[in-house]
Amino acid sequence: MKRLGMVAVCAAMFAAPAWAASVVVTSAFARATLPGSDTGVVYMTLESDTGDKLTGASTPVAVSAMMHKTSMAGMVMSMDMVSAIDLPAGQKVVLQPDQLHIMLEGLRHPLVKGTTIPLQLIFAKSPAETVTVPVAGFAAMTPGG
Amino acid sequence: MLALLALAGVGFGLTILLTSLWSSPDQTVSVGGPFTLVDDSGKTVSDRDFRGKWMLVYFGYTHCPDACPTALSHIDNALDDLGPKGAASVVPLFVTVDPERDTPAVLHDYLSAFDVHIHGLSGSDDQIAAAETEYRVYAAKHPDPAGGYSMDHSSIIYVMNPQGQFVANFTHETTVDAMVAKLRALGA
Repeated sequence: MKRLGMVAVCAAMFAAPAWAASVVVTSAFARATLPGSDTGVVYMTLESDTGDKLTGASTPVAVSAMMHKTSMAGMVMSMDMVSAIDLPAGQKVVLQPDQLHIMLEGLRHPLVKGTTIPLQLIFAKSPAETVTVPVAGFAAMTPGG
Repeated sequence: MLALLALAGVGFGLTILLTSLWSSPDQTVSVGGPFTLVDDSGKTVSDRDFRGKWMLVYFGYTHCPDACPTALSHIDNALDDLGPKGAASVVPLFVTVDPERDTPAVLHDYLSAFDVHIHGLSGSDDQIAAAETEYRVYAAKHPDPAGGYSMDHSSIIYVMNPQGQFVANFTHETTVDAMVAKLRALGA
Protein backbone atom coordinates (compact mmCIF):
# COMPACT_ATOMS: atom_id res chain seq x y z
CA MET A 1 0.00 0.00 0.00
CA LYS A 2 2.82 2.28 0.94
CA ARG A 3 4.58 1.37 -2.31
CA LEU A 4 1.45 1.98 -4.30
CA GLY A 5 1.18 5.41 -2.70
CA MET A 6 4.74 6.23 -3.77
CA VAL A 7 3.97 5.15 -7.32
CA ALA A 8 0.95 7.37 -7.35
CA VAL A 9 3.02 10.33 -6.15
CA CYS A 10 5.68 9.67 -8.79
CA ALA A 11 3.07 9.32 -11.50
CA ALA A 12 1.55 12.61 -10.42
CA MET A 13 4.96 14.29 -10.48
CA PHE A 14 5.72 13.06 -13.96
CA ALA A 15 2.25 13.83 -15.19
CA ALA A 16 2.32 17.35 -13.79
CA PRO A 17 4.22 19.12 -16.59
CA ALA A 18 1.91 17.67 -19.23
CA TRP A 19 -1.14 19.48 -17.90
CA ALA A 20 0.54 22.28 -16.02
CA ALA A 21 2.36 23.75 -18.99
CA SER A 22 -0.17 23.37 -21.73
CA VAL A 23 1.09 26.40 -23.68
CA VAL A 24 4.18 25.59 -25.73
CA VAL A 25 6.41 28.54 -26.53
CA THR A 26 8.82 28.25 -29.46
CA SER A 27 10.97 30.54 -31.64
CA ALA A 28 11.03 33.31 -29.04
CA PHE A 29 13.45 36.15 -29.74
CA ALA A 30 13.95 39.77 -28.81
CA ARG A 31 15.46 42.43 -31.04
CA ALA A 32 18.67 44.07 -29.88
CA THR A 33 18.08 47.71 -28.99
CA LEU A 34 19.66 50.54 -30.94
CA PRO A 35 21.83 52.97 -28.96
CA GLY A 36 19.86 55.17 -26.59
CA SER A 37 16.58 53.33 -27.09
CA ASP A 38 14.85 52.04 -23.95
CA THR A 39 12.13 50.25 -25.91
CA GLY A 40 12.41 46.58 -26.82
CA VAL A 41 10.32 44.01 -28.60
CA VAL A 42 9.83 40.25 -28.22
CA TYR A 43 8.32 37.85 -30.77
CA MET A 44 7.42 34.15 -30.35
CA THR A 45 5.12 31.33 -31.39
CA LEU A 46 2.55 30.09 -28.86
CA GLU A 47 0.45 26.96 -28.98
CA SER A 48 -2.06 25.65 -26.46
CA ASP A 49 -3.53 22.14 -26.78
CA THR A 50 -6.63 23.01 -24.86
CA GLY A 51 -7.16 26.67 -25.69
CA ASP A 52 -6.00 29.55 -23.51
CA LYS A 53 -5.26 33.25 -23.51
CA LEU A 54 -2.02 35.12 -22.98
CA THR A 55 -3.06 37.81 -20.52
CA GLY A 56 0.19 39.40 -19.49
CA ALA A 57 3.97 39.38 -19.45
CA SER A 58 6.73 40.72 -17.27
CA THR A 59 10.50 40.81 -17.20
CA PRO A 60 12.99 42.09 -14.64
CA VAL A 61 14.83 43.94 -17.44
CA ALA A 62 12.00 46.40 -18.20
CA VAL A 63 9.49 48.54 -16.31
CA SER A 64 6.64 47.11 -18.36
CA ALA A 65 5.94 44.40 -20.90
CA MET A 66 2.76 44.95 -22.86
CA MET A 67 1.10 43.11 -25.68
CA HIS A 68 0.78 45.25 -28.79
CA LYS A 69 -0.68 44.85 -32.20
CA THR A 70 0.81 46.75 -35.09
CA SER A 71 -1.63 47.49 -37.85
CA MET A 72 -1.33 49.22 -41.19
CA ALA A 73 -4.14 51.37 -42.56
CA GLY A 74 -2.95 52.17 -46.06
CA MET A 75 0.64 53.14 -45.36
CA VAL A 76 0.00 54.44 -41.87
CA MET A 77 1.30 52.23 -39.12
CA SER A 78 -0.15 52.27 -35.64
CA MET A 79 0.33 50.25 -32.48
CA ASP A 80 -2.43 49.37 -30.08
CA MET A 81 -2.21 47.68 -26.73
CA VAL A 82 -4.23 44.48 -26.50
CA SER A 83 -5.40 43.14 -23.14
CA ALA A 84 -5.10 39.47 -24.15
CA ILE A 85 -4.03 37.29 -27.05
CA ASP A 86 -6.38 34.44 -27.78
CA LEU A 87 -4.75 31.01 -28.17
CA PRO A 88 -7.31 28.72 -29.84
CA ALA A 89 -6.81 25.02 -29.06
CA GLY A 90 -4.21 23.36 -31.25
CA GLN A 91 -3.45 26.50 -33.29
CA LYS A 92 -0.08 28.17 -33.53
CA VAL A 93 -0.31 31.88 -32.79
CA VAL A 94 2.68 33.77 -34.14
CA LEU A 95 3.89 37.04 -32.66
CA GLN A 96 6.00 38.54 -35.45
CA PRO A 97 7.20 41.85 -36.90
CA ASP A 98 4.39 44.15 -38.12
CA GLN A 99 1.77 42.12 -36.28
CA LEU A 100 1.56 41.07 -32.65
CA HIS A 101 4.48 41.62 -30.31
CA ILE A 102 5.36 42.08 -26.68
CA MET A 103 6.74 45.56 -26.21
CA LEU A 104 9.21 46.17 -23.41
CA GLU A 105 9.17 49.74 -22.16
CA GLY A 106 11.60 51.35 -19.78
CA LEU A 107 14.44 48.87 -20.34
CA ARG A 108 16.86 48.85 -17.43
CA HIS A 109 19.74 48.00 -19.74
CA PRO A 110 20.24 47.72 -23.51
CA LEU A 111 19.37 44.39 -25.13
CA VAL A 112 22.58 43.03 -26.61
CA LYS A 113 22.64 40.52 -29.47
CA GLY A 114 23.83 37.10 -28.30
CA THR A 115 22.55 37.52 -24.73
CA THR A 116 19.25 36.30 -23.27
CA ILE A 117 16.52 37.81 -21.13
CA PRO A 118 13.95 36.07 -18.91
CA LEU A 119 10.31 36.75 -19.74
CA GLN A 120 7.40 35.57 -17.65
CA LEU A 121 4.18 34.85 -19.53
CA ILE A 122 0.85 34.86 -17.73
CA PHE A 123 -2.05 32.82 -19.06
CA ALA A 124 -5.75 32.76 -18.24
CA LYS A 125 -5.76 29.01 -17.46
CA SER A 126 -2.24 27.57 -17.58
CA PRO A 127 0.26 28.45 -14.86
CA ALA A 128 2.70 31.27 -15.61
CA GLU A 129 5.78 30.24 -17.55
CA THR A 130 9.19 31.88 -17.63
CA VAL A 131 10.95 31.61 -20.97
CA THR A 132 14.55 32.43 -21.76
CA VAL A 133 14.49 34.74 -24.76
CA PRO A 134 17.59 35.07 -26.94
CA VAL A 135 18.41 38.54 -28.25
CA ALA A 136 18.86 38.64 -32.06
CA GLY A 137 19.83 41.53 -34.36
CA PHE A 138 18.03 44.89 -34.09
CA ALA A 139 16.06 44.31 -37.29
CA ALA A 140 15.76 40.51 -36.98
CA MET A 141 12.64 39.01 -38.55
CA THR A 142 13.35 35.50 -37.19
CA PRO A 143 15.29 34.15 -34.17
CA GLY A 144 18.35 33.66 -36.38
CA GLY A 145 17.94 36.91 -38.30
CA MET B 1 0.24 49.37 -77.11
CA LEU B 2 2.64 47.78 -74.67
CA ALA B 3 3.94 51.17 -73.68
CA LEU B 4 0.37 52.35 -73.22
CA LEU B 5 -0.37 49.36 -70.99
CA ALA B 6 2.78 50.01 -68.97
CA LEU B 7 1.77 53.63 -68.63
CA ALA B 8 -1.68 52.58 -67.48
CA GLY B 9 -0.04 50.29 -64.94
CA VAL B 10 2.09 53.10 -63.58
CA GLY B 11 -0.96 55.35 -63.53
CA PHE B 12 -2.91 52.76 -61.60
CA GLY B 13 -0.11 52.29 -59.07
CA LEU B 14 0.18 56.03 -58.63
CA THR B 15 -3.59 56.32 -58.19
CA ILE B 16 -3.44 53.77 -55.38
CA LEU B 17 -0.61 55.73 -53.77
CA LEU B 18 -2.45 58.99 -54.24
CA THR B 19 -5.73 57.79 -52.84
CA SER B 20 -3.91 56.43 -49.84
CA LEU B 21 -2.18 59.75 -49.27
CA TRP B 22 -4.64 62.37 -50.45
CA SER B 23 -8.35 62.73 -50.51
CA SER B 24 -8.40 64.43 -53.92
CA PRO B 25 -6.31 62.49 -56.44
CA ASP B 26 -6.99 65.05 -59.21
CA GLN B 27 -4.41 67.44 -57.83
CA THR B 28 -0.93 67.62 -59.28
CA VAL B 29 1.44 65.11 -57.75
CA SER B 30 3.70 66.86 -55.33
CA VAL B 31 5.40 64.91 -52.59
CA GLY B 32 8.28 66.46 -50.78
CA GLY B 33 9.47 70.01 -50.92
CA PRO B 34 11.45 72.54 -48.99
CA PHE B 35 12.30 71.80 -45.38
CA THR B 36 14.48 73.36 -42.73
CA LEU B 37 15.45 70.98 -39.95
CA VAL B 38 18.23 70.37 -37.45
CA ASP B 39 20.62 67.52 -38.22
CA ASP B 40 22.03 65.11 -35.65
CA SER B 41 25.14 67.25 -35.20
CA GLY B 42 22.92 70.17 -34.18
CA LYS B 43 23.36 72.08 -37.46
CA THR B 44 20.41 73.64 -39.28
CA VAL B 45 20.04 72.08 -42.73
CA SER B 46 17.60 72.47 -45.59
CA ASP B 47 16.59 70.34 -48.56
CA ARG B 48 18.95 72.44 -50.71
CA ASP B 49 21.95 71.05 -48.82
CA PHE B 50 21.20 67.65 -50.35
CA ARG B 51 20.65 68.83 -53.94
CA GLY B 52 22.67 66.84 -56.49
CA LYS B 53 22.19 63.62 -54.50
CA TRP B 54 19.39 61.10 -54.41
CA MET B 55 17.57 61.31 -51.11
CA LEU B 56 15.92 58.38 -49.34
CA VAL B 57 13.60 60.04 -46.86
CA TYR B 58 12.01 58.05 -44.05
CA PHE B 59 9.90 59.48 -41.25
CA GLY B 60 9.91 57.50 -37.98
CA TYR B 61 11.00 57.71 -34.35
CA THR B 62 13.51 56.01 -32.10
CA HIS B 63 10.97 54.57 -29.62
CA CYS B 64 9.55 52.47 -32.46
CA PRO B 65 10.87 48.91 -32.07
CA ASP B 66 8.93 47.25 -34.86
CA ALA B 67 8.80 48.98 -38.27
CA CYS B 68 11.50 51.68 -37.99
CA PRO B 69 14.54 49.46 -37.34
CA THR B 70 13.37 47.26 -40.22
CA ALA B 71 13.11 50.22 -42.60
CA LEU B 72 16.46 51.69 -41.55
CA SER B 73 18.17 48.31 -41.73
CA HIS B 74 16.82 47.81 -45.27
CA ILE B 75 18.13 51.23 -46.29
CA ASP B 76 21.48 50.40 -44.68
CA ASN B 77 21.76 47.06 -46.50
CA ALA B 78 20.52 48.47 -49.82
CA LEU B 79 23.16 51.20 -49.82
CA ASP B 80 25.77 48.65 -48.90
CA ASP B 81 24.69 46.50 -51.86
CA LEU B 82 24.74 49.51 -54.21
CA GLY B 83 28.47 49.78 -53.63
CA PRO B 84 30.69 52.85 -53.35
CA LYS B 85 29.02 54.67 -56.27
CA GLY B 86 25.62 54.27 -54.67
CA ALA B 87 26.86 55.22 -51.26
CA ALA B 88 28.31 58.39 -52.75
CA SER B 89 25.21 59.39 -54.71
CA VAL B 90 22.44 58.47 -52.24
CA VAL B 91 21.79 60.27 -48.95
CA PRO B 92 19.50 58.53 -46.46
CA LEU B 93 17.54 60.83 -44.15
CA PHE B 94 15.68 59.73 -41.02
CA VAL B 95 13.25 62.49 -40.03
CA THR B 96 11.76 62.07 -36.57
CA VAL B 97 8.01 62.42 -36.06
CA ASP B 98 8.72 62.60 -32.31
CA PRO B 99 10.95 65.68 -31.80
CA GLU B 100 9.95 65.77 -28.12
CA ARG B 101 12.06 62.68 -27.38
CA ASP B 102 14.27 62.55 -30.47
CA THR B 103 16.70 65.40 -29.99
CA PRO B 104 19.65 65.67 -32.40
CA ALA B 105 21.88 63.97 -29.79
CA VAL B 106 19.44 61.06 -29.34
CA LEU B 107 19.23 60.60 -33.12
CA HIS B 108 23.01 60.75 -33.49
CA ASP B 109 23.50 58.02 -30.91
CA TYR B 110 20.70 55.86 -32.37
CA LEU B 111 21.95 56.07 -35.95
CA SER B 112 25.55 55.29 -35.00
CA ALA B 113 24.59 51.59 -35.07
CA PHE B 114 24.21 51.61 -38.87
CA ASP B 115 27.05 51.01 -41.31
CA VAL B 116 26.06 53.77 -43.67
CA HIS B 117 25.73 57.36 -42.56
CA ILE B 118 22.03 57.94 -42.10
CA HIS B 119 21.40 61.63 -41.41
CA GLY B 120 19.09 62.11 -38.43
CA LEU B 121 16.84 65.15 -38.69
CA SER B 122 14.95 66.71 -35.81
CA GLY B 123 13.79 70.27 -35.19
CA SER B 124 11.12 72.33 -33.52
CA ASP B 125 7.53 71.07 -33.56
CA ASP B 126 6.77 73.63 -36.29
CA GLN B 127 9.75 72.58 -38.42
CA ILE B 128 8.79 68.90 -38.15
CA ALA B 129 5.13 69.66 -38.86
CA ALA B 130 6.12 71.63 -41.97
CA ALA B 131 8.28 68.76 -43.26
CA GLU B 132 5.47 66.28 -42.58
CA THR B 133 3.08 68.47 -44.56
CA GLU B 134 5.49 68.71 -47.52
CA TYR B 135 5.89 64.93 -47.58
CA ARG B 136 2.20 64.22 -46.93
CA VAL B 137 3.20 62.31 -43.82
CA TYR B 138 0.62 61.41 -41.24
CA ALA B 139 1.92 61.33 -37.67
CA ALA B 140 0.00 61.50 -34.39
CA LYS B 141 0.66 60.79 -30.77
CA HIS B 142 -1.01 57.60 -29.57
CA PRO B 143 -1.16 57.55 -25.74
CA ASP B 144 -0.86 54.15 -24.08
CA PRO B 145 -2.57 53.20 -20.82
CA ALA B 146 0.78 53.03 -19.01
CA GLY B 147 1.18 56.80 -19.40
CA GLY B 148 3.64 56.72 -22.29
CA TYR B 149 2.93 57.09 -25.97
CA SER B 150 3.78 55.66 -29.34
CA MET B 151 3.48 57.50 -32.64
CA ASP B 152 1.13 56.44 -35.40
CA HIS B 153 2.93 57.34 -38.60
CA SER B 154 3.14 56.72 -42.33
CA SER B 155 5.83 54.14 -42.97
CA ILE B 156 7.09 55.22 -46.38
CA ILE B 157 10.61 55.57 -47.77
CA TYR B 158 10.49 58.37 -50.35
CA VAL B 159 12.99 58.35 -53.21
CA MET B 160 13.80 61.89 -54.32
CA ASN B 161 15.95 62.52 -57.40
CA PRO B 162 19.01 64.83 -57.42
CA GLN B 163 16.70 67.72 -58.35
CA GLY B 164 14.72 67.08 -55.17
CA GLN B 165 11.67 65.64 -56.95
CA PHE B 166 9.70 62.61 -55.80
CA VAL B 167 10.24 59.64 -58.15
CA ALA B 168 9.37 56.48 -56.21
CA ASN B 169 8.53 55.11 -52.81
CA PHE B 170 9.19 52.01 -50.75
CA THR B 171 7.76 50.83 -47.44
CA HIS B 172 9.54 49.04 -44.61
CA GLU B 173 8.23 45.83 -46.16
CA THR B 174 10.07 46.38 -49.47
CA THR B 175 12.93 43.88 -49.69
CA VAL B 176 16.52 45.04 -49.93
CA ASP B 177 16.86 43.42 -53.39
CA ALA B 178 13.80 45.25 -54.68
CA MET B 179 15.13 48.56 -53.35
CA VAL B 180 18.53 48.01 -54.95
CA ALA B 181 16.97 47.04 -58.29
CA LYS B 182 14.73 50.12 -58.31
CA LEU B 183 17.54 52.50 -57.32
CA ARG B 184 19.79 51.05 -60.05
CA ALA B 185 16.99 51.32 -62.62
CA LEU B 186 16.55 54.97 -61.68
CA GLY B 187 20.27 55.53 -62.19
CA ALA B 188 21.31 56.06 -58.57
